[in-house]
Amino acid sequence: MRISSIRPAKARLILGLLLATLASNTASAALRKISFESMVAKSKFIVVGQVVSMGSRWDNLADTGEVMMTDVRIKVEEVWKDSLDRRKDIVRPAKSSDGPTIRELTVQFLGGQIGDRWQRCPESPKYQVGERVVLFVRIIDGRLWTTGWLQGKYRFHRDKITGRNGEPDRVYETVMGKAQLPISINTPLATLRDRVQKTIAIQRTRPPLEPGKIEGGSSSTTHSHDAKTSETSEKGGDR
Amino acid sequence: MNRRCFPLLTVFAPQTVLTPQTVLTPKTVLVLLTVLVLQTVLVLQTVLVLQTILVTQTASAFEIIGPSWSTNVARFHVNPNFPANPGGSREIQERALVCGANRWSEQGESFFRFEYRGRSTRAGFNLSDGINNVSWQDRDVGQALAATIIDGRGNTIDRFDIVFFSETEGSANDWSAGEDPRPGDWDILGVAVHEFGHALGLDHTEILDATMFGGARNQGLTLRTLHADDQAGVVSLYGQRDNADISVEILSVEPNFGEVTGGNTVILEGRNFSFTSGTALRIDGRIVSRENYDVIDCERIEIVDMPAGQGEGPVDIRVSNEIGSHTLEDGYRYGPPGPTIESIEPAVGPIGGGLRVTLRGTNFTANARVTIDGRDLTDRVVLDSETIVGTVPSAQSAGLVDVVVEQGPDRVELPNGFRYEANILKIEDSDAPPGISGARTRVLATNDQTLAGISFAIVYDTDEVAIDDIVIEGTGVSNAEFHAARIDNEGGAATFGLVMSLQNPTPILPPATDRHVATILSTIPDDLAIGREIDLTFESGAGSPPIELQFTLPGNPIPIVPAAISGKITVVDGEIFLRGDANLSGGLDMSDAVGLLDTLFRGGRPFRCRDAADTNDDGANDISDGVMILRFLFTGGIAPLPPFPDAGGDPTDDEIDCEVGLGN
Repeated sequence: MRISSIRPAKARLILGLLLATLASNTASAALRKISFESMVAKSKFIVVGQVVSMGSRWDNLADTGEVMMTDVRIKVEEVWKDSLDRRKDIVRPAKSSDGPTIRELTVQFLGGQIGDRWQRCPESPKYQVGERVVLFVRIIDGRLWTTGWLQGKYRFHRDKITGRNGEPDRVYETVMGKAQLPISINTPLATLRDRVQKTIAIQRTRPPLEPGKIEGGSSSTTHSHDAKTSETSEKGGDR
Repeated sequence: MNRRCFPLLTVFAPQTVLTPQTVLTPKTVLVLLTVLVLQTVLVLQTVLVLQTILVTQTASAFEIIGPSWSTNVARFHVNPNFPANPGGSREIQERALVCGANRWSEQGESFFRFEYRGRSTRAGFNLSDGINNVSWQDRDVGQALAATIIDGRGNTIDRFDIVFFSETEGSANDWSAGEDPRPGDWDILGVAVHEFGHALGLDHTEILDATMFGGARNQGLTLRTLHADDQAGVVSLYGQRDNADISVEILSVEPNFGEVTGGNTVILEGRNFSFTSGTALRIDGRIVSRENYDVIDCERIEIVDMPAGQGEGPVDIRVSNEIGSHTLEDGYRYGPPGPTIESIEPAVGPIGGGLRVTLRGTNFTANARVTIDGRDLTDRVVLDSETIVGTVPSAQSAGLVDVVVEQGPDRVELPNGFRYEANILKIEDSDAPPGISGARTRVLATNDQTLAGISFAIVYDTDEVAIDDIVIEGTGVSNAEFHAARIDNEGGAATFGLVMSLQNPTPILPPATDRHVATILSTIPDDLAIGREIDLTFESGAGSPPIELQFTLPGNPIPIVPAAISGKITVVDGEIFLRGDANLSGGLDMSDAVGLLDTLFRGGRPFRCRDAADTNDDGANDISDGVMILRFLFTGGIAPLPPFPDAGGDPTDDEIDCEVGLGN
C-alpha cells in the first residue's frame, strides 16, 4: 500500500516530464498562450484553496451576448499574491491576522447549469466542489476571472505517505500541470510557491509599464512587470 | 558501493558484488557477463514497457466534453463579418468557415457532419435564438482568440455558437481567410476546424499535432488537417463510418471538355481541397499558374482561365496539397466532348456470345470501336450519338468483364459492365398493341451442359397484363414429353415446367445459346397507354406451389440455377414489325431487298406491312429502301431506322402503315 500510494505520483511526474519535453513553445488554438511570468504579472491574486460551492446565472459576457456564467466560491488556504483592489462581493478578507489574508474569493467562468439546461465553453476552466486548486486570478469588469481562461487554474493533489520503520509520515502536494499550460508539468506545491514568489520579486525590480497598458499590472500593489514584452514575443514566435 | 545503484545486480548475483578485493577468475568473469546480459535485457524491456505506456496514452488522448448531438447532423449559419483586410472578401471568409466545418465530415471518419444553411447577420453569442452561428466580434475578452459555447440538456447538445474575437488583451487579432496567412495573422480555417471540434463535443487533447490540442503552431495552419487522435475522438462520439477516406479527391469536372485554345472556365468538385500555397494544380502534367485558378472552398476549385491544350484528346487533372494528391485520369478533354458509356443492355449474356446488345452513352461517332473483355463487338452499328448496337463476342469463361469504347484519342470504359454466364434463362423483350390477345413473348435458354428439364416462375402486374398460357409449340423443345403451366392472373404469378423425357434417356437438351424454350401468350388491356412497359419478372419461389428457377441435369439431383434476365412487353401503336423486313420473315436478309425491289419494279406481291419495307423511314417505299438494306448487309452502310434492330411499332407518324405485322 505504501509503495502503491507513491507510485502514481511518481508516474505522473515522470509522464509530465516526458510530455513537457514534447511540448515546446506553442500558442493556444483558441487562447493566446500566456507565459508563466506573464500570468504571475497579470494576476491580482494568486491563491491556494478549495472549491466550496458553485452557482450559475445568466449574464452578458463583455457585450457578446447573454450566456450562463458560474460563480465559484473558493475557501482560501494560502495567498501567494494579494491586491488591495478588493470588492467585498468577490473577495472576503480574513477576520484575524492569523492564516491567509483572504478568507474566501469568488471567481467566475463562462458556462454553467440552470435547471436542466447547461452551457459549456471548452476554453473555461473546470471545477468540482471539494477540489483543491491553485488559482491565478485577475479582475475584469469588476469580477474575478482566472488569468488566461483555463490557463490560470490548476488542480492539486495532496497525497499522504505513511512512514515506515519509525519514519514520520510525509505529505506530497503536487500541482497538476498540462503541456499546453503555463505550468506544463506536475510540480510540487512548495516548488511552485517558491517560483511564484521569486517571479514576483524579480518583477518588483523592473520598471513599471505605462499605466493602463495591462490590466493587473498598473493596479497591483505587490509588483510591477513587463508583460507586454512577453506577449509580443509570444505572438511573433509561438503561434 | 551504493546498493541502490545496482538493484538488479544484487537480485541476480547476490554473491558476486564487486569489491576492490574481488579476484577476477574466469568463473567470476563469466558470471559477471551473464549478469550484465540479463541486466541489459531487463533495461531494454523496461524501456519498451515505458514506450508502450506512452504510445498507448498518446494514441487515445482525445477528450470529450461529455454530451453529443443526438442526430449526426448539426446545422449552422455563418456571418462572414471579419474585417476585409486581411480577412478577405465575405465569400472568402465564408468558404474558410464552411470548410472548417466540413473537415470533420471529410476527414472525421465518423457519421457526424455539419450542414451549412447559409449566411446570417448575427454576431456574438445567443444560444436561445435557435440558430447555430459562427461570427466575428469586435470584442476583447482577455486571452481568448475565439470561443465556442455549446448548449443543451442532459447528454444532448442542442445549440452552439462560435465567436472569433478582434483583440486579446488589447492586442489585435488579424484574421486571414486567404491561402497562407501573412506573418502574424491567424488562420480562420485552422482555428475554425478547432472550434467546430468543440461544437461537436470534443475537448482539448494532449496530442501536440492534433487539431484539438490546446496549442497550435504556425498561425493555426497545422489545425487544418485532422490528426488520428481527432478522428478517434469524433468516432468515439458518433461511430465509425464505413469506407472513410480522408484523401484529396477530384470527383467531377464541369464542363469536362473545351476548346484546345483554352481560356474557358472549369469547375472541379471534390474533397479536401486546400487554400495553402502548397496546393498545386496540374493539367496534362503541366502546372497551372496560381493566377489562373481559385480554390473556392475545400470542395471546389474554379479554373478561371483554362490553359491551352497540346492537341485534341483527353488529359489528366491532378490536385496536390498538404493532405495528399489525386489524379483524375482523362478528367478533361480538349476538343469536342468525348464518348461516355452509360449502360449496356442486356448486361448478362452467354459465354458463347451471339447476344444482341444495345450500348447507351453519349458522343458516339461512326468510328467508335466497342470491345467486351478486349474482343470486338461484332455487327457493330452506331445508330446515333447515344446508341450503338452489336453482337457480343464469345468468351473463355463466365464472369464480369469490362466494356470499352475507343474513339480517336478517347478511351472510355464501363468496368465490369458485362457478365458472361454459362447458364441463362431470359425473357426476350417484345412489343404488343393494346387490346391484343395472344401476344407472344419468347423465353430463351442458354446452357453449357445437357439438360433434362427447365422450370421457372414469373410475376407481373395484373393491371397491365394477363397471361393466357405458356406453350412450347414452335419452340426448340416441342418434343418434350411433359410440360405444364400454372397461371394465377389474380395473384400475378405464372409457373412453368418442362421435362424432356419421363422414362427414357432421350430426348434431352444439349448445350445451346438462346434456345427458344417457351412462348408466353398474353392479353394486353385495351386501355394501356402507348409506350407503357409491362414487366415480366423471373422470381424464384413464386407461384403456388412455389417453383424455383432451375435447370435440371440428367442423372444429377443437384440442379443449376441459371442467371435470370427478366423482360418486358412494350405497348405500341398498331402492328409491330422489323424495319427492313419487307417479307415479314422476322429477320433482315437479302431476300427482303430482293422482294422489296420485286414489288416495286417487277410486279411482285404487294407489301403487307409498308412500314417494314420503308427501310429509311422516309414515309415512302422506293428503291432507296432496298439499296439501304443491301448497303447495310454488304458494304457497311448505316442500319435501318428504328425500331430496328428490334421488332416494334413505328416511332414515326407518317403516311404509310403496317396493315399486317409480325405474329399475324
